Amino acid sequence: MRARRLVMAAALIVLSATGGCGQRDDVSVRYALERQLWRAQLHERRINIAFLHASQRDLASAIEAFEQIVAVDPFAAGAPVAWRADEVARVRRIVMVSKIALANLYFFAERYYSAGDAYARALQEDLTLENALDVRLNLARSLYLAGEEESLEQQCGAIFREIVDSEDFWGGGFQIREVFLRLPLVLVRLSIERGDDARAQEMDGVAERFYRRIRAAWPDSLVAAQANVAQVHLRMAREQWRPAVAEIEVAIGNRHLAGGVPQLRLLRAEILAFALKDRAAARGEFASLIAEAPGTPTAHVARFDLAVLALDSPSRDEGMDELRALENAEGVNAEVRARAMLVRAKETERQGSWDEAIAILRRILSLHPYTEAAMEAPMVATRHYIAQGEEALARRSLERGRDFYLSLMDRGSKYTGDRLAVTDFLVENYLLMGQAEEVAQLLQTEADGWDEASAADGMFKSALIYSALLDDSESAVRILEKCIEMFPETRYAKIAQRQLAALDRS
Amino acid sequence: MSAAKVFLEYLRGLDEAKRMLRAGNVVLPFVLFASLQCLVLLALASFPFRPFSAFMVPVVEWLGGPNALHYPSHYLLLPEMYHRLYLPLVATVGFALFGWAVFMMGDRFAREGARVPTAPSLARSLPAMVVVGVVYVAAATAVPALFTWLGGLVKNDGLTRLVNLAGALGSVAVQALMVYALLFIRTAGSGPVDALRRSAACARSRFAVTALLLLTVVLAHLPIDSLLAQPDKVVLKFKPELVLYLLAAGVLVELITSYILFAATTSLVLSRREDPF
Repeated sequence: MRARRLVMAAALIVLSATGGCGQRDDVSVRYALERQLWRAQLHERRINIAFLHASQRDLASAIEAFEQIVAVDPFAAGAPVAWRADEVARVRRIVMVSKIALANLYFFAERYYSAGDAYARALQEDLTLENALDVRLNLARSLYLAGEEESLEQQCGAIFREIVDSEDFWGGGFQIREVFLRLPLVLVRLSIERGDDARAQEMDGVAERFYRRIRAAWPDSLVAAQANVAQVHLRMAREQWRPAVAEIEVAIGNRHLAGGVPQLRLLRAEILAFALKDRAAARGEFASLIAEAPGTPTAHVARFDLAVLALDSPSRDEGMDELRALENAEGVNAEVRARAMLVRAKETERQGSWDEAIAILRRILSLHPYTEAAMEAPMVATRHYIAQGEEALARRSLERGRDFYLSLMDRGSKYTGDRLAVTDFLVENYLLMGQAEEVAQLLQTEADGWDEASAADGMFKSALIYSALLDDSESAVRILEKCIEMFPETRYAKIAQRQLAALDRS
Repeated sequence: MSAAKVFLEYLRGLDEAKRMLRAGNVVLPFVLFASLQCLVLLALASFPFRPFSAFMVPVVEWLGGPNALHYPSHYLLLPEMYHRLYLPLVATVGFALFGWAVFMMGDRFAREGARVPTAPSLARSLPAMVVVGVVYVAAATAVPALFTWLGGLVKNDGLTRLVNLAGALGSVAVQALMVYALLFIRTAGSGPVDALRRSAACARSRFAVTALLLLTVVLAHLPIDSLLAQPDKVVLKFKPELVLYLLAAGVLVELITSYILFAATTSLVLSRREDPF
């Protein structure tokens, strides 16, 4: 009897203690989320450690783990009153981190639409300005890669507005990265690319005011110097060469850009030489760059530019000698060497020494095959034979050129440059010969061995040739539909859809 | 006593412990204590969830600090938190239950005809058992702690390891001297001080075999204890929950080894059919 009373009393004490403390659902929810996040981050870490070796399965597992975290919103009906504020903040932080991580994983998996959606959802969370800008930037990248160029412009505009309106930004409570300084420049370029002059002019004014404000807010700082350089690019994008030169001169005097001064001076000299045709001033600048730091990459480019200027002057022979010297000089990079050879080959052809010119072109292909000059070399030959009416030789040159371009395009090739430019040269070479249908077919049949971007680009070019040159919309539609099927959720599919709509309209 | 004789005694102790299993009820106190340990582990591991969250959140925070409330640091701190609860638990409830088991073992030998004096009532012996438990646990933990502190003063890694090993052996020696105390509370109706004194005297006469039995216990725990000594590696290389599984495995090992230790030591004294008192 006494024992039973003791048990009852003990039970009452436990119950009252339990009831008095109350359940801690805030801790339960936060802890469960932490556990899910830990597991998801394990998959994520495996991908981050060796991204190139991460399998699709690793990526899918990580995505699935983060999707589970964000699938349930613990505050769907608002945060319960009994929950402690610090626990609520922790739960919100886990949800925010998970949303951003999921968006990043979609991006890695090239699911750009899903990435865009996920970044947009992450923006609904309570982010710091710096995080919000990063998320917006990634959202813009996703939209661009998804082919949503209009939305890209909207996002860039939104980021820019957020920066301009932010007291935190102007108060210096935020580390200004160069990428954010380039945003107005991107907006101007997008307007120019779209052919919207009025908008380009408007954005130009906005960008100019922004850069001036930056320079006034942080004078004599690296960020002011970066704003100055952005202004140079802004003027160049608008083809305003005199103001561009004036901005470069300001930038040259900035001590924070000391390391970049030779490049800025080279840029100024090139604008003077080739855009403003002020050759005397340009020659002086090129000469002083060469004299001040001979043997540097900047001096090599200056030597090349100076030689090109000489070709159009009475001292042509000196120019040719300088180009020849550059081809053989020590320490000159392949791109400059190849460009010097190409210019010399063209000049030699112009002078009527084709045998010498073709020998130079062949040397470019064998010595510097991964340069832009090498890509142009077959076209110079084809164009020459066509002009001379030597059809057999022109066809032979075209075939050699095709083999060269296809070797660069192959997925296993060591070429790391712009492959889309290679297909441009390939197409142009065929069009010179009037073989539009052949190249349109070639772009489809050879694309299997190419990377995704090149294959998609080849299909677009093929479709364009069928619709614009061969008047065969049916084939164009078939190719574009195949492209959408092959590359869903990518910008290629979006571009293909836009081209299909354009074909429908026409 | 020659090494062979010590080993034979050791084997005889283990064999007696096995034979004693036929009376299943002698295992009951050990099972009860293991169940209690599991309950503590469950409460510590499931502290964020109902029904434990109502009272375990502040307990876990008190035991392990604010980090213990978060995953996976909760599992990093789990061995330390469990240890902090385990020591007072084994010194009190544990020794009370082990004492009960020793009483039952003593009864068994009385029925077999050994000269076992009349047992005092279990309830009356409880305070003495708890005092013995507190002294036993305090000594068993203080000795290695002292050697660890000394090892910290030595700058040589090899020497530090030697000092730590000496600490472990010292702990075994101290436990060997006190392991018979519960038996004397049962057989002689001693108070705690007298029981400890008699235990030391009894252990001296069979020190090697007692130390061997305790060494068996230590070695049985060694794999799990060495893993739990580095919870960060377990958490990062495997999974955080593995710490809990290791602690649960440790409970199972302790159930078996504590039974063997008390059954073997009791049988070593009582089955000699001589007056050990």
